[in-house]
Amino acid sequence: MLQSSKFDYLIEQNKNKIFNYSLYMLHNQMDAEDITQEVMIRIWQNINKFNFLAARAWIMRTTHNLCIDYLRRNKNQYQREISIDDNLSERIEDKRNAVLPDEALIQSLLDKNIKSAVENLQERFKCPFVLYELQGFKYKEISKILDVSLSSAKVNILRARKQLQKDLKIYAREELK
Amino acid sequence: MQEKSSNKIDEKLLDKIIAVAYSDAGLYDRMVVWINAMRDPEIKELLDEYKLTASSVHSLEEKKYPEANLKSVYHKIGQRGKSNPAVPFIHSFIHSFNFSKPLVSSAAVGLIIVAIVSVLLFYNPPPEQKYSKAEIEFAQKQLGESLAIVNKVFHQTRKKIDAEVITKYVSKPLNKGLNLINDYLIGG
Repeated sequence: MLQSSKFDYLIEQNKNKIFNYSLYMLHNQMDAEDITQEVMIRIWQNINKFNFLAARAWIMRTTHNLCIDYLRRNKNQYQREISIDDNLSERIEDKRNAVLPDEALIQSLLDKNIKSAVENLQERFKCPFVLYELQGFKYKEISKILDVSLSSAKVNILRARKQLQKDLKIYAREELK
Repeated sequence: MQEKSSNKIDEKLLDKIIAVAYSDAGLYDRMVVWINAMRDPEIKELLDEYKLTASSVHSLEEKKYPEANLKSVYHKIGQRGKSNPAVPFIHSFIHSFNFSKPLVSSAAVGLIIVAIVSVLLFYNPPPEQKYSKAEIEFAQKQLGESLAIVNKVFHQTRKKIDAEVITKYVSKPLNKGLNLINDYLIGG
């Protein structure tokens, strides 16, 4: 009873975080769904083993490790070019019918650019950046999740921010052409 | 713009600008960046650019994990599904305390136990006062006497009002007035 309550609680709190992190790492919805499912099963298998206070970090660490394993396994064949936002065209179409079509479209494109820019960051920058900026983890938690020092987590987030800014400028220039 | 600025702006200041833009800087760094931005429009522009990116990043929507997949997870682990408590809000509130903040919930339970024990140990109800029969009779007698005094005072007051106040200040002027009216009517 308590076991399943704990599981429900953890899943409810973390399912979207796991899914989105996997999505940023793998760039593919189906693969992200698979990883999320695998993480959930591991949570269930280890529900009484891990420290509940550090559950969030444990879950994201497992997610990160599974994503890395997955990427390594599929390194050669992993050349898909599916965007992280598979439904973008539908959403743009929906927003075209909205009250302010131009703003909606611009926002969608901006979101798409940012997502693409984040997606294309180097792995060592992307992981801490996604965890910190998009998932709200603290530096200390990130250093535990990624098994790096606190200072290196901070430096990589800073570098990711700089790189993101540069990449967005390139996107903007390309769109102006 | 940024590359050009980066050459002029030293690396440390740039780091501070970025931290401020992403709301990740301390008060001192914020002050430093703010002062520099006031002085130099290029720094201000750079700060605004980073701020725009930061706000766009922070406003990115989180994709939701499909519920259908969740069902298959529950199926795989051999659970029938999410437990459905009678009062979901209270259930989730209690669980969030128990699981995410076990220290808080333990402290709360400890406090409640301490409160109950202290009440049981240290609470002394006020002793019931018992009087003897003689004391009660004496009190009744005193009560009767005091009521008699009050009664006497009221009685005397009434007598005085009847004898002096009503006769002197009400009856006589009233009679006088009526006589005047009579005289006037008879005379008229």
